[in-house]
Amino acid sequence: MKKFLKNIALSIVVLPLLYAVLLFVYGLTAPGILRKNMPYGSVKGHLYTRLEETKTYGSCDVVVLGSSHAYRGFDPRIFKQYGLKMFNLGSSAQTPVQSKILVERHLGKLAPRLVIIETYPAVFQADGVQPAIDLISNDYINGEVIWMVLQMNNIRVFNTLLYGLMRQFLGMQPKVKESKKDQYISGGYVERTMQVMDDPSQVKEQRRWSFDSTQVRAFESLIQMFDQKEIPYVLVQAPMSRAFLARYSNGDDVDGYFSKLDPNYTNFNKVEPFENKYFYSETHLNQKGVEKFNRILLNELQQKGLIE
Amino acid sequence: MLFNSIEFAIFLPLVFGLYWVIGARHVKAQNVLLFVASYIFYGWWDWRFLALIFISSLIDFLLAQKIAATEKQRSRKSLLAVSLIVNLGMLGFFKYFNFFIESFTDAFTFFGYQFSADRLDVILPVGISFYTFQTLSYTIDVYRRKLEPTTDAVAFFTFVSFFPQLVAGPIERASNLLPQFMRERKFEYGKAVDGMRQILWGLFKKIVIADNLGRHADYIFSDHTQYPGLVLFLGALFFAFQIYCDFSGYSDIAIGTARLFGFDLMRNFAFPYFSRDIAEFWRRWHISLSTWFRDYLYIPLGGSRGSKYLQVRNTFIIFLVSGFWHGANWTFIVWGLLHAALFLPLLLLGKNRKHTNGIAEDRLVVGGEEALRIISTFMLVTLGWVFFRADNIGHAFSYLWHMFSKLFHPVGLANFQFANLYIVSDFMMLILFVVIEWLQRHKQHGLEMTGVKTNRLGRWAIYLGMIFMISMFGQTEELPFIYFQF
Repeated sequence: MKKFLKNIALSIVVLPLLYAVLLFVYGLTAPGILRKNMPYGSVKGHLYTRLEETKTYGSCDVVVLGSSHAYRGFDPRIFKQYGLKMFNLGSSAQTPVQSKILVERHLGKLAPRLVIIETYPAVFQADGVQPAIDLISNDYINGEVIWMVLQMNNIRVFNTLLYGLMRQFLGMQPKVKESKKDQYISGGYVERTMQVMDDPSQVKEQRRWSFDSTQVRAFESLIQMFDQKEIPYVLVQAPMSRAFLARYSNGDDVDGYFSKLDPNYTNFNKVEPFENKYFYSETHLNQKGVEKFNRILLNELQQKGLIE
Repeated sequence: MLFNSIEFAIFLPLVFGLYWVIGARHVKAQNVLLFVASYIFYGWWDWRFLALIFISSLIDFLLAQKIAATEKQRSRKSLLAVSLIVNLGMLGFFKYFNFFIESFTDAFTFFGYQFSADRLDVILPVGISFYTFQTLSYTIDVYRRKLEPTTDAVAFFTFVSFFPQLVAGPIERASNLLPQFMRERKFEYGKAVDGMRQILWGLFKKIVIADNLGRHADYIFSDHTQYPGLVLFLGALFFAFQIYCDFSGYSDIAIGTARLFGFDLMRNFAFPYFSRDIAEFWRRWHISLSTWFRDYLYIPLGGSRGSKYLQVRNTFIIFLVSGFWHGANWTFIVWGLLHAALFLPLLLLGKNRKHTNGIAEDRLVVGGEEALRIISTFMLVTLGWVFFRADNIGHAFSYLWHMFSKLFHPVGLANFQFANLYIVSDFMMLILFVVIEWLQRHKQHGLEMTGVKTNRLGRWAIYLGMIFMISMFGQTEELPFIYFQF
């Protein structure tokens, strides 16, 4: 028994160290398709460039938070036409857990007068693995990120964290190959080459949005943080294709929840219908759609007195 | 509690530590600990079903003593009948009630009669088929005077509910496992280390092979009319490895875990996909169930003795019951009958025990004829799995029809998207798995190292490699084992 326990104890000490070394060497040498559970740098969305830009962008009027619906749906060039300096702090599949971390780290530099939070319901029911990998790969790792990973209890995120930590320790820069279809626009926006979505697939069955309690808690704590710091915010839901919206039966319940948190909440799917020609995918606006949406949004915000 | 869960990773070392702190000399105290641990393990799913195991154990514990106490054959038979009725009654109620209701309704409707009966909203207790057969083996063996009944209630209750093999086997015989609860279990270093290796191998099979290939198989089976035959064949192949690695992975973890506590469970799989005919496949696949049916059903029916008619009848009965044991669905019955049809020619020609020797003994590579036999047997088994996996009979036939009629359909593999982007690594792991299984085919499991000269560095490199592969290529969701539903 002594020998067995000795070997177990030895393996508890030695194997994790060897594992970390192996993971690092493997991460440096293996191609992406063989890094299934260590997808460091696999999330596209220009987060690294965006976060680098926050260092020099200076203070602005508006900051946008949210998923790809945010960084692909709110164009700072259109905001500029309205005399507003905007920065888009959205990131791929960003859930409230990551929004909170990004706000704590980067909002101070941007000092906005208004924060727009895009509330794509899917991120409220997501496990947050993809945005966690995005964050680890493109921003620095600290205790807060490590705590987030421990709470997620997911081997993909854990491996990515371990690899990211070793890269950070050795001073290596993040390395993400972005899609050639996308162009980064100063102010955090990503413009997709103009295209129109294919005919949407038929609705096979009705689904319901079902929010994850962790995401709800993080979101409400984010709202609370804005309230405490007296930073004005507004919740909005960007347009999605009608085919996509038709799949979900409890959209009104979702609107009800957000309206309770913010009386100014607006679901822009209900303000004006957006035809398929305004989308490049079922949930993403193309550039024509973004232009139309942003003008409607800015007029709405002006009417509500949230911007000048 | 799943073997592939964080809960079990905490539970096992805790029980292991307490067990050996109590010490080998305190057998009863160790049994009490294992009994409590087993009930916690099972109750983790649904504590209400603990009552079923308890009742089943209590009835057989008492009946076996009564059976042994009386010499009157009629009384003995009646007592055995009570055990069979109660145990099979509970199994039948929870597992087959709705199946019979639906089948009767369909049959009456088919003949133009109106018949309606309500389905019962019952949940199938996890592992009921396994522990029912295990406890039945005890009363039957006592009835046959092959086993003395025990008066140690704790030992018996722990034998029925022993957590490593409670929910998916191996289905242990009382004659093998129960005496182990009576005697002192000593900690053996070699046994415990090999147990750990077997657990590691089982986890690799489950998390890396079964769960990954299962996703591809689900994807293909759920929408089979959209794909060319080659993709459907791939779907069947993926399921063949999913079901094997899922179930044998569980058995490996169960056997390995039991070894940590000083117990020896029976072998449940012996590299079945290297079988050279269907008869050999059934000697290598789910051995604990096959031998259970052989000893408690096939041989009492007359086995392979008697007229050709009796041989055919017995063969069909055993495969039919085996299929039905798996689940209340016609797909399992057809799967069983298909295997009966494949087995029967071998039996009638007296070739069902042709391949009892090792595969490619003393050779690394298999010969041409033997290779053909292995491949053709594997193909037949894989086709059979289509029935096992399908939602219903119509689905299975449609799947097979599409598979063969569109085998070389112009719509090629290029148009098919796999369930995830990492199909390359899934294939690589599958190939690695088959190679390891082939190299280890004369051993008990894929990581057994007896007779192999390795130094500590080599062994640790293997452990690290396995852990790394599980971590890098394994499925990240905790998916339940398929055989839990049986």
